[in-house]
Amino acid sequence: MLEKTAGVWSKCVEVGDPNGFAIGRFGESVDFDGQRLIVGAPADQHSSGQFGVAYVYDLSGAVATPTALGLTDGLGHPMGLGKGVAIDGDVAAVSA
Amino acid sequence: MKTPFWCVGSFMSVAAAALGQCLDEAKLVQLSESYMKRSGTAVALSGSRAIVGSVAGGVTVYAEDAAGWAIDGELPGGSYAGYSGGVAIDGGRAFVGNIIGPVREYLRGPSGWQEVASIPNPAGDGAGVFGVSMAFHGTRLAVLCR
Repeated sequence: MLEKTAGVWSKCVEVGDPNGFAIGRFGESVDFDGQRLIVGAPADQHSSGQFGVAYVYDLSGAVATPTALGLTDGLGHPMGLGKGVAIDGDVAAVSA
Repeated sequence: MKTPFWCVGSFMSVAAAALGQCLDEAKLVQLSESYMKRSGTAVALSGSRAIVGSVAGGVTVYAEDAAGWAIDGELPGGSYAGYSGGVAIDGGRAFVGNIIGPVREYLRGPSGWQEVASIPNPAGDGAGVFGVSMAFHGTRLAVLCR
């Protein structure tokens, strides 16, 4: 995440795949509503064992390494959830 | 006027939410043009403006007024080697990525869209993927970098 301050862009927050899964395609889709960041990782593996995760981060505070909340659909798709993401307030849309 | 909230349907339409239904409200790009340019590989929406990337035709900003949707500006770049970079928009500020190079920042002024900044690829041009997916709100730009 970059932030523009006094006309200059600089990195303010950095997030990576919570699983450290190199081929999880973390970041293939992103959205940010000013407070929450959602990141799609359609080939990542959720703690439930399913593939395809969307991670939500709360960036309202000054936390350099925010905690990820992993979302999956519970339907057992082989992979793909998180190819597209959108977030607005308490509602997130995630495509597979 | 309904509130446009997302772009759907081959990435060429603006849909509107009304009473829980999703309605196709407007076609931004004609099918033939979309096919030639491979438009809609990246899309974003902010209020009455939509930004649409393409593989072969640059990035187009559309704006809606009382007469409907019309082209508001053409932003150069946005693709590399047959792939489209990401796009982002919030109000009168837009961003265009081209995958391996810098992300370009554009501002809508009285005379149209002008490039105001170039955000370098942290890995160096051609050395890493940058700006394939992006989202912008306020002063913060979320951007894929790997």
